[in-house]
Amino acid sequence: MSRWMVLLSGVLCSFTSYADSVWRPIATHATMLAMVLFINLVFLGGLYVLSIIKGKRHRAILESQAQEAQIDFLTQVLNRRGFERRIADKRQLQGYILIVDIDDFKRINDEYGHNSGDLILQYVATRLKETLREEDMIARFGGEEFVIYAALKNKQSAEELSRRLVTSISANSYQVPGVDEPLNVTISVGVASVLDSPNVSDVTSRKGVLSSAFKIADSNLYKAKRLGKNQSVMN
Amino acid sequence: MLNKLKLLSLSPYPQLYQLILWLWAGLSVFIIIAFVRFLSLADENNVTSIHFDELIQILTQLDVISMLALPDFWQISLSAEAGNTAMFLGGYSAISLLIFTTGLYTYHKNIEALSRRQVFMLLICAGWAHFLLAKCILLFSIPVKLTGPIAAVGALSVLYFSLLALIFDSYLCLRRKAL
Repeated sequence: MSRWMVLLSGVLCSFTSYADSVWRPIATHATMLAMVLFINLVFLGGLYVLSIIKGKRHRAILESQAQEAQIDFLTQVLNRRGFERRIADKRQLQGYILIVDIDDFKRINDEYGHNSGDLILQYVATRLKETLREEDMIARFGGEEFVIYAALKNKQSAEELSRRLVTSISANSYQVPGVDEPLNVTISVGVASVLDSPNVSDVTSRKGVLSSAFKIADSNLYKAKRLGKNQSVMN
Repeated sequence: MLNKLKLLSLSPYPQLYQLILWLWAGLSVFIIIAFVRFLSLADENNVTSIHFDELIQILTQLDVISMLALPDFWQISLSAEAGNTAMFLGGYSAISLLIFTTGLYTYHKNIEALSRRQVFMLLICAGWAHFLLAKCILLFSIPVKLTGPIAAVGALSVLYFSLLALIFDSYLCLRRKAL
């Protein structure tokens, strides 16, 4: 029995030494290859991870810049681009367009300076925003002109909103630094309804609907100005 | 690829930064050439200032600092005729360099443009990373016959990567001057 054991262990030992001599060069090459691959994996993987992190940061900055590009710097309401973008995103257009213009704004600028004019613009924008609902949109289209889109169901609500806007601005006077007496500011509002087009998803028809509403609101605004300002007009 | 590389540095001291990189790469090349030459001296039993066992210990552990401290190290000749140039050939280091440059080129072309100095620094760092990894492996008790190949991959990678960094930067430098 013990002789068999000795024989078996002898055979096993010889096999082990044979395997050792065969596998040693393979193990050497495998170790060197593993080293090379490990280093490359660490470096290139690290570079890719870094680029992903940088890309995410870059995207976040771009997104915030895109948001900022849609906001009017002075009044912190939407600008024309932002307004058009938001309108384009809307599924339903039915509602009312209100064009708001500050009365005699040129006189404020000429008499009290542009800084005072800027302050008045900020006050008016804040007051208008406070008067509107969360879902309404307000944008400064340039100069002293603001445009409001309100998704209102009927004419009465639109008239009521426009009256409320006019009153909210004229109700208080505005104190401007460097000017002794508080300034009285009024606005004129032109209102027009936006009728939902049957194919509202069509960009051309959408633009047509909006542009006709803008034209009507603009002509109503001029009517309000001609009728003595500080009022709203809606046909 | 070359003309797309950003030539402007982000560092406030671009020339100092460049000088440090060049010194680093140059020193790396010098140390590895000297190391390989020293290895051939050791192979021929020509090192007299230290006992052979200690020498083997220094070489198998890639102990560059102890090696630099040996007086025999500073006696070696770095001329091309002085030693066996075959000792400077390493297949795995070359493969590593190939993989790394391909990866870097793909990254530069498709993901983000790398600056000249970033490429330089990445090459040197990757070279020394091979050396550090080899040193880490040699710290473990591995079979004696494995120490040579591992040390070779570590040392020759530093040489190849640093040389490529120097060649690449010199080429870009000359190219910019020509423009």
